[in-house]
Amino acid sequence: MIEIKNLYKYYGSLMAVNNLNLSIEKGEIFGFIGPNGAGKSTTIKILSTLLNPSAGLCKINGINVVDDPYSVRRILGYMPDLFGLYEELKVCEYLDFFAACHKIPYRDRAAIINDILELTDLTIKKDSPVGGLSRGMKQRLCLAKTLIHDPLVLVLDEPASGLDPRGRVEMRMLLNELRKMGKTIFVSSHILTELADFCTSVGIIEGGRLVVSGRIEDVVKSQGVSRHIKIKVLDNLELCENILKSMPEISNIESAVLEKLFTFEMRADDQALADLLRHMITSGVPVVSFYDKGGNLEDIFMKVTKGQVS
Amino acid sequence: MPETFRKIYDALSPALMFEFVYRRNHAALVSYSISVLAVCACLLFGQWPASEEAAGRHYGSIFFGMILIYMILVVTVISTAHASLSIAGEKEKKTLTLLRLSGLTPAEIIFSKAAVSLCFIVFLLLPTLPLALVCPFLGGISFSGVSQGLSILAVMTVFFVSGGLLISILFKKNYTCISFAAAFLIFIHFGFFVLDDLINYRLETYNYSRVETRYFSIFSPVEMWGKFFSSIREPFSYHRGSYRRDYFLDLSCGESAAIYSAAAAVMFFSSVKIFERYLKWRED
Ligand SMILES: Nc1ncnc2c1ncn2[C@@H]1O[C@H](COP(=O)(O)OP(=O)(O)OP(=O)(O)O)[C@@H](O)[C@H]1O
Ligand SMILES: [Mg+2]
Repeated sequence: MIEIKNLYKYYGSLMAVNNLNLSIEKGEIFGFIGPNGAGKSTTIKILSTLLNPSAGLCKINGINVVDDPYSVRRILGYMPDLFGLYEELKVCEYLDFFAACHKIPYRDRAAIINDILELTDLTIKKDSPVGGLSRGMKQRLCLAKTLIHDPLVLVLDEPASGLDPRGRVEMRMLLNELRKMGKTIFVSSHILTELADFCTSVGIIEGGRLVVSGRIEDVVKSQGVSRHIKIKVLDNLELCENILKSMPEISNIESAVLEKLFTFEMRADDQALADLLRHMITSGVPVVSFYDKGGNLEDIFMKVTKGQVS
Repeated sequence: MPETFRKIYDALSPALMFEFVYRRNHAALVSYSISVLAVCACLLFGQWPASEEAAGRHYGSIFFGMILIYMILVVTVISTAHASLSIAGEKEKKTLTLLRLSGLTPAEIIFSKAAVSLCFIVFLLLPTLPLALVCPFLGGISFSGVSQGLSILAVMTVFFVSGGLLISILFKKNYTCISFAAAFLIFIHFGFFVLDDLINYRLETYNYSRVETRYFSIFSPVEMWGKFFSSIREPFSYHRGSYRRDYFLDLSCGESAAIYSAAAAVMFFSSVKIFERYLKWRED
């Protein structure tokens, strides 16, 4: 769906994007992570036909963004990190205006706008002026505007910045919903935890260079980062602790005696985890819950990036 | 044919809708129009012939002249300013990015902006229109004279709107655009006179023969309107001073208007071309 090959972008002598290669399948949510100034926004602007790449190839749904920007714009919804709004318009008028710009026939517009307002949870603000919305609501309005022509690919530049924790959760649910509708989503962020639990694949960029990319499980495995496991038992704490201590792959064991909880890090694949659980149960440890907090993106991030900016 | 009209309307509708339906500036527009109407009505009654004898004194042409001067001022200043802020305003609000991605082509954006500026001027001048049409009944000017004046005015509106749009595309900030719009107006109106004076000074023709040759100033709207006024108002003396003026190129006001419409077309299409390039890749 999205294909980037040997992409370079120079601003004068500054190299903002350095030989970027990416390939994203249809229906994925791709998290694009990197520190400030890594080149995320630059890549996204090139993808959404706003910037000319210095070299390289970008294709969306097989269409080259340089050769045919207008066709790309028809299937792409781009939400900028900093965006302007027509403050004097009402929310529904704002959406109606952009629907008209996208040549959506007049008789279909009202229904589409109502659907989108519902999806982005702005129905109660339908008749308020855009200038009077809060930051998070403006953000959602911008997302609503992005969705109005029913794009196949969504490119969102830090959609959750400025949202409260609840807003972030809702944004996540919204993106998941959109994914179920078959859209491919490219989302950038510098907050990892925000992306970790709903992206299907990630790419980490630093200094314009893509450091790692791929499906989250693969990335976790390839980077050899330990998984964070949490076990809750009924009793028999000593036995459990002995089992854990006897395994060489396990480190950083922390036990909370009162809660009967153990947390530890383990370098292992799924098979080894299953073996560990079976071993515990057969040895007579009454396990209440066994929880894999997953590959910690934060660890990977800290491991692969060095804190340099191009 | 209706299909073509629908297409044109569909292309223009977002902008027109935006400007006139959604942006709530009706109140200002209406109050402005009413105040203009009031001022013109006062002028009209001040000029209204009090007796049969006075009616023979061509009040129609005098009054039309006054209305026309007012209209010229409005068209000149407001259409240039309005057009020069149209696209620069979008740039400043960062909404041009949204428009770019919205599926409107650059040509559509420019056409809509031009249409909005033209409609705006028409709205502003609407109240003065009936007053202008009353003038032939007051004597001194015919309907064809009035319609000639108004069509030249229409050409000038298009010219200034295209100039304003071109400025709006070339510069980024509202402030720069409005400054350049003022500079553009000043140059168009008075720059050619200065140029001619410089040429005459260099050639020293004036010193020998007390004849001043006019080369470029015929292109100034001031000259064109002067010709128009002298054609409708006999007592208006246009050639004054102790020396004579020769015209290197003598154009009637109709010919000047034709030149202006050609210039407007050139500016309009060059702004479409520039805007297309600008919108394709903007390095920001
Ligand atoms: N218009 C520009 N002119 C010159 N340099 C630029 C321009 N835009 C970006 N850069 C530079 O390119 C590099 C990448 O910028 P970019 O905006 O892509 O970073 P980012 O990953 O989006 O950062 P953030 O997380 O802060 O949004 C930075 O070093 C920046 O200074
Ligand atoms: Mg950015």
